[in-house]
Amino acid sequence: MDRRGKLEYIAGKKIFSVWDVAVVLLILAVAAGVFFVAPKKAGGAAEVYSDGRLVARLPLNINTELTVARGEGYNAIRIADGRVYVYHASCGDRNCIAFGRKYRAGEQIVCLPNRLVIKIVGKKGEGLDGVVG
Amino acid sequence: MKARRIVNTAALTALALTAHIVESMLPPLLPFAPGVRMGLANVFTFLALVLCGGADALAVLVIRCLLGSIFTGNVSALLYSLSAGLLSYAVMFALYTFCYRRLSLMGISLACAAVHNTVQVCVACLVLMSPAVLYYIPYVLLVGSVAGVFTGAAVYFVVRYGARQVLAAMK
Repeated sequence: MDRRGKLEYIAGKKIFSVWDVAVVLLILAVAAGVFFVAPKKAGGAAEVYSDGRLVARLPLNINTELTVARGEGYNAIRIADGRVYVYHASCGDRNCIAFGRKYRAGEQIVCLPNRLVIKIVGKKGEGLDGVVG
Repeated sequence: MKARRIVNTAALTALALTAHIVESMLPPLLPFAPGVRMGLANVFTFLALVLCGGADALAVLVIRCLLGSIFTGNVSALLYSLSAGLLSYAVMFALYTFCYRRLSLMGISLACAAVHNTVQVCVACLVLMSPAVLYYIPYVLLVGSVAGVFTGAAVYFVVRYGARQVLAAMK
């Protein structure tokens, strides 16, 4: 079929065809596959900053706990199963706990009232700041 | 005929380049994966394939990537955009040539967006030497699919409501 005939053919069809579902399913399968197959220990270490100063650098492969106090406030950080999370905090809003369990390089947990930042850095200390498209 | 062809390809390249540059000014879609973009420029590559044929579309793609990286001043991005662009173009071309009866333009565009984004993540993985980047693939695939739907819809509507006029003008 020549180009014009093909265009006429496509213009006569619907915007979506049944076979597109196969493409969608394939994409979902690959996405789910990578999501579940990918090993979970992506980040190398969690850097804990209080008031902008680095107070601790905790490797994610060692289970540990750390409580960072600043004035009246405190945040209790735990590392378990290669993930870092805040399990207890003095602040009212509990936002830092709501961040959940983080393990990928570049992810962060932030507590504004206690001025605490937990940053996950890669194995060689590289984050993800060079990806462009 | 030859001049007409050059003009058509140039016009599509200019449109693609504009989309490329405008898009590079927008903030990233996913804050944690700055490489993911909507791929607006792909609308024009696809359009070139549909209206002008494979060779012209390839020209639109390569020239757009080269000039885009120069105009946005981000030459390192060329590696990502060109590798992903060429591979997704190959998929687009193959599907449009052999599967156009079954797949709609939307389906081809979805497949193309998925390949484009996956290749970009894989290149990032190689460049940064960090397999951690691969964790972005699921997210990138999902967001890229949304973009693919828009690209497919845009090209479909041009074909449906404008193709006859465009082809008549190109004769």
